[in-house]
Amino acid sequence: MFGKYAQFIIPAFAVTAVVFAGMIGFSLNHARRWRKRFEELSDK
Amino acid sequence: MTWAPAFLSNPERFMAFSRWAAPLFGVLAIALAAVGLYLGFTAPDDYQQGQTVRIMFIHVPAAWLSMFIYVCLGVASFLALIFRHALADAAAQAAAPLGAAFTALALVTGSLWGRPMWGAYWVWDARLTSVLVLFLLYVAYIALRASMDDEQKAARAAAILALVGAINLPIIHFSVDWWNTLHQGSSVFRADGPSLAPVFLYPLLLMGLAYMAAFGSLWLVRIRGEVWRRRAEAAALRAARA
Repeated sequence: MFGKYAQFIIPAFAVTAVVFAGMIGFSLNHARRWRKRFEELSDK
Repeated sequence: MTWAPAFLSNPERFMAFSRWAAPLFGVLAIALAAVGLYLGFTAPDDYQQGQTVRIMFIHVPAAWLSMFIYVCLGVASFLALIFRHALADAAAQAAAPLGAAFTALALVTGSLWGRPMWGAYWVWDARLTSVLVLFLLYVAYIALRASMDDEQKAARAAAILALVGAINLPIIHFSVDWWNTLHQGSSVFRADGPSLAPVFLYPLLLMGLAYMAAFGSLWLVRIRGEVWRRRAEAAALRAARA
């Protein structure tokens, strides 16, 4: 797959997948963590 | 743009809107990327670039987004600085890490395309250097916000940095015209129309829309997170005073 350029194409797509996974994970985690914190403080 | 300050001045309206808009943009991004990647992987090899043309479908949209997000950062910073809208400031703060990530992606994927095509991972070409400066501006914005205890002072200083840094955007865009660069000129947004063959143009445009929808979704999620953080900190302060 991808012939002699596989060593460049596969890392390019792999890096893209990792960066997107990171952006999704960090963004959702940040929002969930602070929403939970706010709800905890509001309940007190 | 008169709707923007009114919209940004109402966090409740924003939270209600973003609650359904963020997942909707996310689903749209996945659908567009699925079709774009399918068309990209089934497109024929380029007569010059061979299989490496497939890197273009992930590199070029990342480069577009790196600049588009800076425009968003600049507009949000301007609104935060002039109108002192807390939500505009949250939008600017939320955009910066995403902009840095997309710019890093453009640099890395471009480098992986450049090695087989140019014979080098990196050259100090005007386009590459100005995009590296863009990445450093994002990093400086994030670092400046994190460096001050007074959040309002940090927000003002970072907004000024963002606005001053906007001068880099036309430099990036016109760098391939102003200087004799190794990086090729624009092949999509041209006065005489795109120079790309439709078999490459359509997957590229679909991937561009997918990246845009993904950014829209992630930006809304991050702004929501920032709103929750500020509300939590205000609640903690109220609890400490009580």
